[in-house]
Amino acid sequence: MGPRRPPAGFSSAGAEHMQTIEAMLSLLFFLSLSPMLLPPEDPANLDDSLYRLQLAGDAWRVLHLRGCLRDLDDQSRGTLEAELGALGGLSGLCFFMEGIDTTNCRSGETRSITSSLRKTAIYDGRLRTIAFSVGK
Amino acid sequence: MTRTSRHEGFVSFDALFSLVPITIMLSYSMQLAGLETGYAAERLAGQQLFDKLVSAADYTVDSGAVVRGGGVRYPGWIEPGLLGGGYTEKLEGMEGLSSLYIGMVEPEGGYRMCIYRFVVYGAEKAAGRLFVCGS
Repeated sequence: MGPRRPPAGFSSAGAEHMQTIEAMLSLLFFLSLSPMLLPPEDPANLDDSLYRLQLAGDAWRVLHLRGCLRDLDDQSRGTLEAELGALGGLSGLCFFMEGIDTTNCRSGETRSITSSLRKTAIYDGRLRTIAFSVGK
Repeated sequence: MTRTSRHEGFVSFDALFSLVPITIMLSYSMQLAGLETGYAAERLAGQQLFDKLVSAADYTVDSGAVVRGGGVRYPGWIEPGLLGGGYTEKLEGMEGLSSLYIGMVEPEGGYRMCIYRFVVYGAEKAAGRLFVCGS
């Protein structure tokens, strides 16, 4: 009895090659399905980091131009909070001035801070560093 | 004629049957790649538009439409009258936008994207927002 021959109509080496190629293409196909399985990316997910910093700088500049940062002390904090409230009313944003405990959002809700600047102002006749933050 | 000579060649029944699913899978993968490319192009166009609006707003608030006096300009203090007279059209051409709106009043609609900047305006330096919208 001679060595076994492959069944008629089949080339064993060719079939192995095709099976390897099939396996590779199947893997590629299932990998290509992964974007559909992942959560969809928000199309409005823009990089607005510079813009958020500009907004925070704008708010500080508005306070400065309106004279709210002049002669700061405990008595003028109320006026400052009213100005921040006006800006918050226009935009729906919250402003926080850490260092002098001033804000237009005192409800106690958790806010997400979108940008923060380090500023210096004269408070009670002395230089004081204030972290000026903007949040939602 | 021997049996082996009738079955020479790479093409076999197995290969022929395999070609159908391979073709389908390749076609689907190429369609998916095309879709992903389209989404990426859309995201890039949105980011470009946003960056242009930010640039136009920054120029307007820092220099383009600000109050000037005594050789000094006041960034953040807008002179609303300077926003007319072709100012917006000039910026629109420079930025390569199909439409641009810059004003103190939020427009009703008709623009793909809008941003705003906090400014003061008028002699009383009233606090307000400068809207920059475009498509």
